[in-house]
Parts: sequence; C-alpha cells; structure tokens
Amino acid sequence: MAVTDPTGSVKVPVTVLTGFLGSGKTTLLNYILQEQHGKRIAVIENEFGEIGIDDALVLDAEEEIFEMNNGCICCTVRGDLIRILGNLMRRRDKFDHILVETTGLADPAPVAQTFFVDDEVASQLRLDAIVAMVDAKHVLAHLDEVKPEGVENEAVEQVAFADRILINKVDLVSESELLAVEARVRSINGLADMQRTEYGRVNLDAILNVGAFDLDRVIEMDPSFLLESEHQHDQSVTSVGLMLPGELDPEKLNVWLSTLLRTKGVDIFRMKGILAVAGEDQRMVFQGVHMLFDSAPHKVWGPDEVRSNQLVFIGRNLDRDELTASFAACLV
Amino acid sequence: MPGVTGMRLRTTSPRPASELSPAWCVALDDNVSALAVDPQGKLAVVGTMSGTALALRLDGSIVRELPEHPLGSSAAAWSNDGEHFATGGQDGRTRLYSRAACADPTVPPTASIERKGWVASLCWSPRADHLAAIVGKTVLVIAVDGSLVLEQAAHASTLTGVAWSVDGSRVGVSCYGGVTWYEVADPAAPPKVFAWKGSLLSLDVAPNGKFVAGGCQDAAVHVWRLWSGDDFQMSGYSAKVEHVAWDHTGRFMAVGNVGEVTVWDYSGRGPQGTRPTQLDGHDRHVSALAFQHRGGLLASGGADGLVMVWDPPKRSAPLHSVELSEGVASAAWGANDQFLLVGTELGQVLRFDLPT
Repeated sequence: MAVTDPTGSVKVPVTVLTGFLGSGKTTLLNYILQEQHGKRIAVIENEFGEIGIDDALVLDAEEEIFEMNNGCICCTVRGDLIRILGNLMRRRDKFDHILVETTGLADPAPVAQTFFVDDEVASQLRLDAIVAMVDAKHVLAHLDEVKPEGVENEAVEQVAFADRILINKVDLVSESELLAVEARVRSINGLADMQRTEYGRVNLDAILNVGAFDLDRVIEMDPSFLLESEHQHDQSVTSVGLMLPGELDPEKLNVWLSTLLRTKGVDIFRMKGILAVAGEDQRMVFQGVHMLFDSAPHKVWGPDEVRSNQLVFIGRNLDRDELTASFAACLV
Repeated sequence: MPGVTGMRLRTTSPRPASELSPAWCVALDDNVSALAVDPQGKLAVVGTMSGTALALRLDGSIVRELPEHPLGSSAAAWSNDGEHFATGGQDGRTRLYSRAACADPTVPPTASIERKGWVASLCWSPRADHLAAIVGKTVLVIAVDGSLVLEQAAHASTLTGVAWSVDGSRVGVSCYGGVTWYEVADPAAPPKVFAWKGSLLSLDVAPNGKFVAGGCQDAAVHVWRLWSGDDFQMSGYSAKVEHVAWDHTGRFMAVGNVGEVTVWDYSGRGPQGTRPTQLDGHDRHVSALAFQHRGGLLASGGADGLVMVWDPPKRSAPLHSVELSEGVASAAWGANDQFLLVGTELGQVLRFDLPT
C-alpha cells in the first residue's frame, strides 16, 4: 500500500517496537533484518543491544522528550526522533523501512505524537504501527506491579498503546498460563492484534506495513466484543467500545469531543471511531493519540444502510456508563 | 500569517522577477548538507550526506578532497578573515584547517576532535580566532592553533544552535529549555542562562548585538534582548521554524517557514505590535535563508526547488528567481555579495551570478 504526499513521493513506513528489557525486542529486530534482507532498513535504537547488523544503518538516539507549547498539556514529542528522522530523509538514497526500538521503560505516547506534530516528519514518513513485545513468563508480574502515586506502569502503557502485541517466549509457559496472559493483555487493549511467538519469529506481514494509523484501516475495526466490561482485575487501564445507532448532531459532537479531549485527553491513550454525522453522505472516520487526532470522510453510506456509530477508547479510568450517556446525548 | 493581525502587507503590483541562470554546476554524490564560501572570495567548502567533503574553486573545479565524515557531513564554516575553515559531521568529528590545507593535501587538520553525537553547527567567533562547535550535548571552543579552550557538556538535551556575542567574549548555545552563554576567557564562570520552556532549533545574534533569536519547534521565533534577557515571541507560523537570518545592520530579521518568508523590522520601537513583510513565492518549506554580507538583499531556497532573491521590505515579490529540478538544501552568498552558491538535495552545487 502506498501512501503519497502532495508531491507524489511515497512515504516511508516507520514501525515502533516497544517492550520491556528481556522481552525479546532485539531478537525480533534481528529476525526482521534477516528476513527483510535486501531492503534498505534504518534502525534507531535507544539502547545499544548486542546487535550485529550487516545491511542496516543503526543509529543510536538518546530519548529526549519535549513538551509542546500548544496549549495541550499531554502533548509531548521525541526531539531526538525529529532530528534523526529528518536527517535520514535528507539522504539521496531513501530507506524502505525505518524501525524505532524504544527502551524498555519508554512511554510510547511521545513517539506516536511526533508523527502528528512535526510537519517535516509527517510529510515524509508515516507511523505504520506500534508493536509491543511482551514476555509470556514475566508480563503479568510487570502489569501487576504497583507503582508509587503518579508514576506510570510502563508495561501497561506499552500494551495499551500497541497496534500489534507479540506474546513472546511462549515455550517457557504452560497453555493455561498463556491463556491468562492473553486474557489480561486483551482486557487492557481490546483492539490490538495479538500473536504468540517463539524466539521473536513472527509472520512479518502481521507487523510490517500494516497501516495501523491509516484512517482507511479504522473502518475495519470491530468493537463489538468491547461492549461489556469484564472486571476480573482491579485495573485502571481498559478498552471501552461504544456502538450507537442513529445520526450525530455535528455541533453537539464537536462540543462533546473537544470537551472530552480537553478534560480527559491525558487519560485517553488511543481512540478510533466511525461516525454517522447528520447531513453527511460519508462515514466520518477518526483516530487519535491523547488530544491529537486525524479525521477524514470515508465510505459512502448505502441507501438502505442503517446509520450507526462505533467508538473505541483505550485509556485510564474510563467510565463506560458516563461515556455511553454523553455520547448518546450527541444524537440528533 | 504571523503577527498581530491577519492582514497581508502588499506593495504595489510586483514586477516579474528576472530569471537567474547558473554560471556552472558540479554534481556531487548526495544532498549538499554543508556549504560555506571563503570570505577572501576564491574558494568554497562543501559536504554531502554521504560524508564527502571538498574544497572547490569558485569556477567549480575541485581543489582538494578533504577527509570524509562517515554517516554524513553536516556543517562547514570559514573564519571571517578566510584564514581558517572547519568541517563537521554525523561522525561527531570536528576538523579545523588552516587555509593552506585547501590546496595542499599534505597539510593535516589543525585540530580533529570527536565527541558523542553529531556536529549540528559550527560558528566562528567575530574576531576569527575561535571556532565553536556543537556536538550532541557538548559545546567545544577551539582556538585557531587547535587547542581546546572550552568544553561544556552539562546540557539537558541535544544542542541545536550556536552563536557568538558580537564582541566575541561569549558563546551561546540553544537547546530544549533555553539559551546558555559561556565566557570564553573564563570557562569556569557561571554561565548566563535565558531559560525558556520550549524547544529551540536555531540561534542567531543580530549583528548590532542587541538581540538573539531562536527558531522554535512550536512554530514561533523566540527573541531575547541582550543582555537584559527580556524576551518576546513571534508566533503563528504554520510549522516549526528552523531558519532565521539577520541583515548586516541588525534592523531586519527574516524567518523561513513552510511556503513563506517573513521579514520583521526592528527599527524604532521594535517589532512588537507590528506586522512583518510577507514574501510569498515558495510553496514548500524554506530550507536556506541568507542576507548579503554588506547589502540588503535576501536569498531564500526551498524544498520546492526555488531560489529567490528579495529586496525587503521594499518589494514583496522576488527580484530574481530560478526553479531547480530538485529541492534546495543549502545556500550562501559569495564574499562580494554578487553571487550565490546553492547546494541541492540530490547533490548539485550551482553558482548563480546576480545580473549586473
């Protein structure tokens, strides 16, 4: 799939790999490079692993998180990535793919937001997907770790932000343990595609060039299994799906969404939506990270189609009943 | 449009610009990421993203291939007197040379210093006796004899801009969080800090010594009065600001952005509350911006391949222009202000003489 900018040039896909130290990110990275032999790949690393790479350009970057003065308190970007990506794109020989490996403790939000906020980055590159690697044996302990007040649990954030979650080292745990891991991961992030892997070996079509941030892909989401809360755990980060038949009043929708993002944007990690706006022939699709979002008109409603709305939020302290009621109030 | 109101300043019907044609063109191996013209008017030093570094005569012939910078050349600069020059790269290495090294490949660099990170910028002191280099989070000041006279690495983030005070006593560096000024004669003295919570991308001191301006990631230009530290900001740009250029008097400050150049007038009570002159012509981001050394003409180059010469604030249309087949990466005026050297994204170096 080619995504082009107004000048007609193809945007280079960027895959972000997150995951705790020891989850197998470096093994996955090596596997990708080996399997993608012959392609020009640049790897940006935030911690030098033991990595021997023949064809790829490997660059070291120290995480530098900058707050933007744009009136949005959670809008942070990665200054180091802006510089390095900008520099890579200045080369005459372009790359086929760029991989960004974050540290085990990295917050994925600034990485994702960099692609929304920086013009130069957005005009030449596209964030393809955030891939989280979790270690089947240790991930539950990491997810359950109680942090001091105000400190984020990075493992939970990485799972919550991901588009693709690889449950690695499945050979080290029993099937029942695996099912428990998968259920727990799914309870945090109800949208991501989940796969089991051993030694980081995965079907690369499932993690590369998947276009997880393309608005075209939002239309494919299916929030139907996120309509009920399953509270097995006392956890604050969850996914909430809303399905609502009917048409939305554009003004009410606008007020609702902007108020929600202003007041709850810090707690909303990811969101996606397919909306039926009154007076519009096409579906409105959108997706966002915290307070930043992209939206565009998409597929035309058929003459006999029942107009309906689908929304998914992944975030902290989401109140399903409150979201359902306030969203329903936007109906015409 | 930046400024207080949304009105556009327009002069009377612009005359069509005259077309510039290149005197010569040299094809190099990659994006011309570093380019500096000799103040004595005979040579130039250029570098590319593939790491090539060359000394050229101003007829386009190559004088010397300089040692490469693996991963890419990123900066080149001549001292004001033309007696020394320097190159820097993504290998983190800064090399300082005497002029003699241009013609004689047996002359080694006077200094060759590597630090972690890449060389983001090189800036010679006004007295031509010191070179300042920013490499990752480190600022180095190297004397012309090759000795390292100052090294400061205690910065919170990667340095993005470097500039000298007009008297040459202080060197300033910008990063996320503000500008830090060091006393070159007394490196142990506590630095003067202009704190500002934002990401600065460049640093340029007005030649009259009154102001220092930094382009910002937040689509603005932040300006401090020297040395009170009083500050103000020009905001409302459409994208991050990477290029700010002062005219030689310090009266005009040009700002390059996506699809536009604006020129602020610091005469009278200064630019606060005023509208800038808007120079329309580019349709992508402005990648190079420079005023003449002694005249008032402004050159701009863009990712759209346009090279334009303006005469602000009198005219809002270009005096001269040319559209290249590829984006502009770098540009600099010749010592006599009568020609421009332009580097492109795909590796061409072109010389354009102003029509007489």
